[in-house]
Amino acid sequence: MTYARFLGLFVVLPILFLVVRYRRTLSWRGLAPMGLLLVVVYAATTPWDNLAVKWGLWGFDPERIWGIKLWYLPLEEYLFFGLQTVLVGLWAGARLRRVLEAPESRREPEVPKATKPELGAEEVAS
Amino acid sequence: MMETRWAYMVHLFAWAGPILLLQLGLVVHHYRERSGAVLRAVIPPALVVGTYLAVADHLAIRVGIWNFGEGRHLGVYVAGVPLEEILFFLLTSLMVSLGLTLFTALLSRREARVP
Repeated sequence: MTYARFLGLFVVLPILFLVVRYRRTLSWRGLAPMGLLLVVVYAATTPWDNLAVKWGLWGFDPERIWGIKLWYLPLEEYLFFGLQTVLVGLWAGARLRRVLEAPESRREPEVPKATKPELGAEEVAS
Repeated sequence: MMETRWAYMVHLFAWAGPILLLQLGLVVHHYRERSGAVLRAVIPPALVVGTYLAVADHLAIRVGIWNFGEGRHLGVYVAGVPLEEILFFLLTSLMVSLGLTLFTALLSRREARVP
């Protein structure tokens, strides 16, 4: 198996699953935080990962990569940072939205318990 | 230090440790009493995806897509995956989750200021 096939099978497929699952709530506006995050992820991870390979902490089999390298890393490794960000971000973002859009029941202690909506379980449900 | 068995662990924590502490501090500072609910929402996906990627990593290592420098990690393995590698997937996924939470806060504050 090549690095590219690994990415397709184990990272891109789950991303497609999440895109289908959240298709009704996804919007370009909603994805803006992930766009900004991607910039930071690349800025923070590129030097760190390159140094790791330079120092011999890990390396890649030349037979299992496309062969396009930028500094010490194959192109697939750069794709991996972004795809992992999208994979975690789509799921975490959907759950975060649910919490932020929920009424802030905890800020209203004067509401009697009996009439207070039971949000605890739903807030964190995936 | 980078030529010892602690090299990978030091490289990982020197990078991810301060970032995660800063992110956690900023999340609690911004979300205040909602921090608990926000963290309960965004941390589980990071832990699940981190664990999932560590499991997938088992296959990548077995087929030899990537390999680890001799004597640059502790040599503690879980199903053939170095401990540092498992921590790598968990910590990077946590940084993504908390980073997304912070950028969501930043953009919603900017939107709130625009009339």
